[in-house]
Amino acid sequence: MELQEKLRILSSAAKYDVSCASSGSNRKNTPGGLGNSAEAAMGICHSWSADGRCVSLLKILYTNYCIHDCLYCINRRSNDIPRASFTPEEVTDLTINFYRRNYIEGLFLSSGVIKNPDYTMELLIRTIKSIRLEHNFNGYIHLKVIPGADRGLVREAGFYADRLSVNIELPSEQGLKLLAPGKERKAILVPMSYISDKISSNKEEKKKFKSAKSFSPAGQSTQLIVGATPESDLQILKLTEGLYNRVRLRRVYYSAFVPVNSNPLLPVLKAPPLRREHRLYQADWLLRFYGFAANEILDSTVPFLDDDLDPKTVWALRNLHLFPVEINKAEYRMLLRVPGIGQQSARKIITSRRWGWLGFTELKKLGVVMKRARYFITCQGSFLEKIDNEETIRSCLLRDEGKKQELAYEQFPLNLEAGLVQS
Amino acid sequence: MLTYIYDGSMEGMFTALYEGLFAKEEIEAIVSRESYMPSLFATVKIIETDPKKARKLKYTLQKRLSKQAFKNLIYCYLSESGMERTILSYIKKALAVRRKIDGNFGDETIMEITKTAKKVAYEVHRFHGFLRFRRIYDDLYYAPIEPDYNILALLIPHFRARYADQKWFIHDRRRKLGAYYDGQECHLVTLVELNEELEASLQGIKTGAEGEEELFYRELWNEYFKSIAIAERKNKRLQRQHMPTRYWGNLIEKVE
Repeated sequence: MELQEKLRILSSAAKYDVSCASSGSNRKNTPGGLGNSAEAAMGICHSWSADGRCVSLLKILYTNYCIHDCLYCINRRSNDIPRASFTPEEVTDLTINFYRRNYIEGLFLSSGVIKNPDYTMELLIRTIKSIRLEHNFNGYIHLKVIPGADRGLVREAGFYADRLSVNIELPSEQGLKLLAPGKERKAILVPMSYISDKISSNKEEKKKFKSAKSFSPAGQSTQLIVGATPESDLQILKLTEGLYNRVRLRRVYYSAFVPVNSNPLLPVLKAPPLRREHRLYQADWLLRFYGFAANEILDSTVPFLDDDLDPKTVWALRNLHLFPVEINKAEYRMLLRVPGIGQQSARKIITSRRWGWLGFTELKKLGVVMKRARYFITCQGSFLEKIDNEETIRSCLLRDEGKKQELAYEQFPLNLEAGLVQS
Repeated sequence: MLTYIYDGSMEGMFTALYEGLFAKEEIEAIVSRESYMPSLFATVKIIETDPKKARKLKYTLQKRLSKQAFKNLIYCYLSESGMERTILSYIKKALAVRRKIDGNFGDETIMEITKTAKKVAYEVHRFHGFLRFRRIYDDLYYAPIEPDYNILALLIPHFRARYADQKWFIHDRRRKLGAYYDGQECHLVTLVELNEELEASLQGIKTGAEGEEELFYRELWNEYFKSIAIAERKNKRLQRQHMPTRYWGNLIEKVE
């Protein structure tokens, strides 16, 4: 089979993997070597595909043959689709030649499972080892760990990859049992916590010995499918929170269920639940950067995120007794909780008010979204618009939201320019 | 009301700023010769570039401003968007007080400088991604760019670190500037124009085995670019928002 044909099949088969991050590794170039990974806190996007998702890495499967028969997956064993496998040389050749032309930041290698997890994992390791060792490649490599693979293999992979990830696939064990009969929750969680421990012990080791080899320096991530099984957003956020706090994941990615197969066990959807996915990302940001806990965002009385308003605004409306916030006095922590104020504008408010009182005009200039913030703040004690009725504020906000057509999907909605100039 | 006209170079601008700090008259505008529009009412003063004055001011600024603030001023100069007068106001404000003034975003001048610098920095970041090399002669990787701002010099450190083992040439076609890295050092060159042969080979016309190899990877990349998109999630608007059409011309992938 021609390389072009293989690339078509195996990139198309990999496109449902969401992650495209290429940041946080800080791998330096070596003498005579090729590449490095982005120094900035944010990764580099090289292009955007027709679905508006960023293209940062060469995202491919090693093979789309698979022993599993997961109901939601395009590559399931029982599907009659064209199959292909790369060789390690082909993957190496594509990666190096794309990289040299600045098409990509590096490689994201995943795979269907052939024969057994160990065999597949060995192939993947052989491939990335050849890229690293024979071609002195120092660009970014994200490797998917095959659940059930031997611990020693996972360990070896971590020394060549910048990031490892194990897909949690579905938000609950029941969901997994129902739709992925060959997979076990345990086989996913065990390597995840192994990688997590290994990353932290490696960090300690690196403090003592500078020459110690890095283990998965850009951390670990995972992804789960939203909308294929009936879990609530509350369940998903609780899971996410646990993954961030206990397993110290860098990122949890959500992927709106795209029905590629039909089966009575799968829901019938007109379109992928993109809005829901978007809201989950917003809530995810609140967990990671805004100091929120999952049970502040949702609780058992309201287990799903609001369709019309973002989760921070919804939280603020439910907690009107904490508002208004006086811009010239409030702590950073509280500023962050005001709808329409992001990390950057909160920081700017803190540094600017040392010089004098801030008014609404200044706030607008330094980037606060006034149409959302106006109901929740005062400047030197005065309101821009004083409404203290939840319903009225809600309808005002909805009226403004309606004016701008919201984008259905934003993976990095909040902090695109963070840390660029003023960091 | 006085308008200063300088030669357009960074040194020229710093000379003009230096003069501006000591001027008794109110300075209305500082413009480069190129962007000067004659006006009936303005009194004009031509500023001769004086490396000594420029150096003196730069030295003072580097001492008195934060590293970031000084960088912001350079970025504003490179934005080529008529920021010189604002830079003068900024410098006056900064030198008037002992404190570092960067954090005072309530001040219009400071906010404007920060915003403009941020736009330039963002374009640099974008071009770390959008720039595409073509392998044209056996060892040379060539990349044409047409950025909004004059960011060529700012791109060098990134590409130098990343592609230390290959020779490359980045060409700002709009400004006719080039950065050539020979595997050891990087040289900035001006007045770069391409000969017809090179221009043709960039349009994808095959020239021998090398051309074929180059085309092979271009086609693979296009194949990849197409197949990675999920049809059910099509969102051209979002694509355009991240990758504005003005940048498409020098990409390899065919964006539609």
